[in-house]
Amino acid sequence: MTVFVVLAVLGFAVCLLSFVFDGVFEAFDLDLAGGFLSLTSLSGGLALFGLAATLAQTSFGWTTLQATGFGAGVGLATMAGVGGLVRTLRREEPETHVSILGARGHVTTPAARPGSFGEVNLRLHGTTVKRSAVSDSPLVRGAEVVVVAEVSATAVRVEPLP
Amino acid sequence: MEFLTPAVILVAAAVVVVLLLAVAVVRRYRIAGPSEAFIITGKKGQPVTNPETGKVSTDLSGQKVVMGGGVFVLPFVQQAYTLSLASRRISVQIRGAVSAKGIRLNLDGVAIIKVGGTEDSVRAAAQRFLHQQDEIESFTQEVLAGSLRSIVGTLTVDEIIRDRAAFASRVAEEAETSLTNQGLVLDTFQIQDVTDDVNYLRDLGRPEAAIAAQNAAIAEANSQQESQQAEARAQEKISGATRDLHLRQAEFKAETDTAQARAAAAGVLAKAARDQEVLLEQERVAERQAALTERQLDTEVRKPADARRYDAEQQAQARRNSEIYEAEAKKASDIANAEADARRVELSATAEANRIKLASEADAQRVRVAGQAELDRRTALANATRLEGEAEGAAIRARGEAEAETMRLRAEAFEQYGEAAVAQMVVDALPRVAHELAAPMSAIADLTVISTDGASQLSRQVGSNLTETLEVVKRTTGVDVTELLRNLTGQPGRADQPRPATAQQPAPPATDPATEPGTVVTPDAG
Repeated sequence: MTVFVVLAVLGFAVCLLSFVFDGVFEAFDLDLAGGFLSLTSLSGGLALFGLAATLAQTSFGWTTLQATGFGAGVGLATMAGVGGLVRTLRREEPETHVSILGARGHVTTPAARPGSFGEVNLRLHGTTVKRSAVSDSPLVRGAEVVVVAEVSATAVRVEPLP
Repeated sequence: MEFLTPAVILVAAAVVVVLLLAVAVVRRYRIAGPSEAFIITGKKGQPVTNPETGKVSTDLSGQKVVMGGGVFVLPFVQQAYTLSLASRRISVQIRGAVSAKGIRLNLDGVAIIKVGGTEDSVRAAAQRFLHQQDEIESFTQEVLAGSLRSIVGTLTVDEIIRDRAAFASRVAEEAETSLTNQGLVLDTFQIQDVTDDVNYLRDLGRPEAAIAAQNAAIAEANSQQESQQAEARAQEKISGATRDLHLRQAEFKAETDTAQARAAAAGVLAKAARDQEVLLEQERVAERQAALTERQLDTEVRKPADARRYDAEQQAQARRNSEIYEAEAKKASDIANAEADARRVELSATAEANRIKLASEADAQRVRVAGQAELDRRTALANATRLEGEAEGAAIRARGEAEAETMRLRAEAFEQYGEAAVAQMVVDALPRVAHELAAPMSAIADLTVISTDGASQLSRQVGSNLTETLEVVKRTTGVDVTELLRNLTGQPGRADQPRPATAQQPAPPATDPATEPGTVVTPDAG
């Protein structure tokens, strides 16, 4: 039981320290498996292992072996929960590069002369974005166009929709 | 309680640990707001193998760009930077930009820019502006001022003001070249104000402004005219209505007054009618009385008066007749007296007239006789004078004819004798000339000649005078008397021939015996 209590206290202390001094232990590059087995989660699992085993021995009167098994289960479950949470959050990261090819829109400012830039408003993922546009065929104001190429970050090549 | 205490503590500690773990996990999860982007750096990128050279390098995937979502950032290992995607307002002012046709313009523009919303734009902008995001405005302002200046240079004033499409197109081109590579997006660029220093823009609008002002003035005048006309018409109607009202009121009043007067006069009229009847009756009575009185007057006054008047008339007629007769008799006697007087006056006047006539005729006869006598005398005198003159004239004519005959005969004689006759005539004249030359000397009373040569000098003096005279005649008339005489004699001798002639004739009057001796003339006056 004493061992359990020591482990619990140790794990709790480390966990608290890593929380308060966030990132201190990551400096030692202990981050394993993309944050899945970070020092925080390990110390937290260790603390819960000690706590659970102590609780099982003192409150339920279980044997040491039983208490150890119970504590290990709780600790591993905790770590698994943390890892699952992290994985879930990582999956939630948005896709930042979206292709503008094929986007549709209409002409707001016709090109002053062939080959020069006009302006188009494009519908892209539910928002309207403005882009400078060039086209091989003359475009009139309000004409429906489709993007066929991306010239630069702010300019596209468009063709009129039939 | 003692039994529960360790268990509760243990459970509470477990809960605390779970919470710490959860908070630690969530705290590493960063969420980017809608207007910001995260750039997370720190991890190595994925290895990429160049297919041509076989070299292995890492790409930029370790540098992650997150917009509008969450990201799990590992402390220390990764670093997250925030780049604001919010719009930034930039004022652009340029002065003296030259437009396409050379007009200088001052433009105030406003631009809205932002960091582009794509991963590439964020990366590009982060490289340039991450730690100086507040200076994006100042950097871009300079660039846009230059861009605007070049855009204005390609457009006319009209296009700048009116042709938004042309301007926007140029702006898009400029932005593409100058802003996109910095990761910036020009959302909009508008010209707020265009001014110039030479009133070009003001003059552009002046014709339109003048027309607008004119139209406004016309419309104002028209509306004022209409309103005043309407007002006048309304006034006219009001006046008409007032007039009608007053007329009707007057009519009613007249009717009322008439009725009232009639009512008031009814009693008086009735009384007057009765009075009139009474008066008529009285008049009839008076007429009857007058007729009666007249008949009485006829019988009592008129007939006796007629009788008296007839009597007076008869007497007056008789009186007048007797007076007429008297007057006629008197008139006849007056006429006879007057005729007698007139005859007497007439006779005396005739007698006087005859006497005066006779006297004047006698005077006239006397004057006529005296005049006739004078006339006769003058006539006789005139006749005598005429006869005298005729006789004198005849005598002169006869003398003249005789002289003329003499001259003619002499001339004939001269013609016959030629120059001999002329010489003769000259010779005849010379003694007279010498006489004339000596005439001054004849006035000399006493002459004393003192000379060794004796008195011959004096006679020589007369001779030289004559010679000079002949010289004068020769120079003035061309008749050389000396030559003439020489030719006549045919001798070359000079003065011997004429000298005896001259000496003989003037000698007696010129010379005085007293003055014979001496040559110097001394007038002895004294």
